[in-house]
Amino acid sequence: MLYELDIAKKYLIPRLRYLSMSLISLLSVLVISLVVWLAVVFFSAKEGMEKTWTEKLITLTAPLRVFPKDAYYETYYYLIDGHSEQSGYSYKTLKEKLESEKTDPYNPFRDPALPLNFPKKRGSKDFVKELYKGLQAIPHTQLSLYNTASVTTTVKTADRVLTQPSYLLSFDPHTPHFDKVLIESIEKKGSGFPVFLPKSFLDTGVKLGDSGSFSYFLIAPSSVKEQHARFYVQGFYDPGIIPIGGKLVLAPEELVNLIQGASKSDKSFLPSGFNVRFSNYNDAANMQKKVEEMLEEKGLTAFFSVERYDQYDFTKDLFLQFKSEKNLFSLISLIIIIVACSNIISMLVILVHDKRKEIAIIRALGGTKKSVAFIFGFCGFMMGAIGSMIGSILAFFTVKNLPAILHFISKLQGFDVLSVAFFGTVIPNEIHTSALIFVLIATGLTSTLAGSIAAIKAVQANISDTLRAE
Amino acid sequence: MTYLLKAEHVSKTFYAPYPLPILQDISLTVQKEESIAIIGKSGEGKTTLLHILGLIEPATKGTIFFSGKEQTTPNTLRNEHIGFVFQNFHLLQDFSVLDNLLLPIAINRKSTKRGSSHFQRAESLLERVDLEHRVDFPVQKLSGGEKQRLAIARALINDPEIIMADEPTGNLDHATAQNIQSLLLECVKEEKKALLLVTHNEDFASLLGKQYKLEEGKLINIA
Repeated sequence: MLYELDIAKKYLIPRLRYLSMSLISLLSVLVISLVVWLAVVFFSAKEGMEKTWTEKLITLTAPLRVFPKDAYYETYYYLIDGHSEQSGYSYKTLKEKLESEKTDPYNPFRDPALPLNFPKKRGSKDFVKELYKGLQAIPHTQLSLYNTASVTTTVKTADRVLTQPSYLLSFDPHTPHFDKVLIESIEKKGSGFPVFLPKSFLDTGVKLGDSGSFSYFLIAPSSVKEQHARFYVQGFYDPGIIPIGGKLVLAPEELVNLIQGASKSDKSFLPSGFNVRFSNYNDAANMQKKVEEMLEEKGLTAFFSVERYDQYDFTKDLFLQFKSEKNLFSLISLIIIIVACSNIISMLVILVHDKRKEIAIIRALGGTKKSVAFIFGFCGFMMGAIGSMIGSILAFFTVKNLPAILHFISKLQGFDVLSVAFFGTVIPNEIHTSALIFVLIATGLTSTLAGSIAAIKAVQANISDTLRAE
Repeated sequence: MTYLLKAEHVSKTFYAPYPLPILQDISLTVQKEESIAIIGKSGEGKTTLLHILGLIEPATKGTIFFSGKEQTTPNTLRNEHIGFVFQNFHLLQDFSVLDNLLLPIAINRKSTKRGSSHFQRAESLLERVDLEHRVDFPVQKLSGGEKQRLAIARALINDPEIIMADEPTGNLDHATAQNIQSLLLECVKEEKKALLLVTHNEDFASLLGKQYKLEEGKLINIA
């Protein structure tokens, strides 16, 4: 073993003979342990919750969505259906476009003449089919169409009737990981379409199997008629962080298409597009790049947008907030770690003062300044490392038992520590590796830096003066 | 005969709080296996001179040559070619007798493992200074005489050419001091080392081959 390590080891072991120094040393390690513990638990809990929220979000949506831009709705390709008898003089949804046999249904002999300002036809390219083919060609992805519709939901419970404006989202209950958002469901089939209501309905007394109806308006050239579609509650789900989650009803695709088709009169459709799913949502940026390249290659960039789950209009601010909170807490952690490590400086400066004679002896016997600096730098690093290790072990046990700890605190204070409505019922119980690495590196660097300050002081000592002073 | 150590026109002035010349234009040559004593009153600068000659402290003026070369690597020289014995022993308190003895070897990055040649030398030196029964003893539990015997063994461990001793008997009672004097002189003779001793003990100094007196910053050859 290097003699420097041997000497540092002796200095690190608390001794009764050096009581005050030992106490400061133990206190420094304790403070670092507490900081590491706090930071790792906070980051792990935060990351765990964010992961749960993200997983819920991408279960209900997708890690990537491709949808038409405004420019798409101004193309000949889209608008021509409104002037074509073959399309029933009505604009087509993406699904209808995908299923239509003709790219251009306009018949100049049967259909009315197009207005002078009508967009010019740009070749015979079928935008939606081209897009679909392009998306299909990207490996390891799963595609589905999503549609939304605006309705008024009425649910009949045992003792009352609830009515509220809602949005329907086309949804397949066989979507991967649906169990992550599903609260409860039944197999039984009632009359009408099976739907999944957000958990806010559950809180207002709606039960599984309750029936209700969606009302919407059928817009015809001569009149507007109110229509009803019956449904029964097949289940309840947790909408997670989707801001309009309390109003978002998951309904079969055919129902959403039906309502959307009936309501459409112009280009002001509610959002619709393609969900692009893949196994690891952390790969979203890479997949987004691939889709963008495909759009560019097919000349579709002007007509379709591709967005990641953290770029959706309704989640963007929230994810930025998550990021901001993490950055802020990282900064706070770093400041606390620096404060904790300043204890190491105090302790090591006392140690250097106390061991100045030994430093002089080592130097007189041929020890280099580098060796002396290494001894004290290593002491600083080891104190940080020991503190980090204790803190990490504490954090591991805390995070593993977080639900029990939170339950205990909730019992003590008489209300939930973390609101179920906001944080959900699943409490994270896994150490977040990146957080642990961040804290360990920050502590390691700061404590080594603290050790270096003492090391500089140690090497500046005058050997001759010290040896003579004794 | 080739000289081992040569000091040429060495001067030393301390500047705090005002310039205080301690050593003035000192020249000294130490030959191989030669023993030299420097005597002088307290405060005359004997320790300062020894520290300058041992490259622990820089001189204000003058040059130190070792084996014909001006010295630029004092750490290596102190470790490999000079053995120090100090008045206050200067041992590492939290270490054992053996750890202290092997420290110069460890500093020199050589093996101190049991069975290595250096370990064997450490064992034989401990036997020579009559400390073989104290191998794993904590240093702070040793008597003053034992500490100085250990310091002599430590000075010899790296097989240096010269031993520099600063009042090696200054902190010991008369009987122990006599023992240490004998031990130091015997060891130096047996190991064929040069000895540079600074002391105020004229009797001890008289046992060495040459004596110098340090007075008012000047080194005077007295025998």
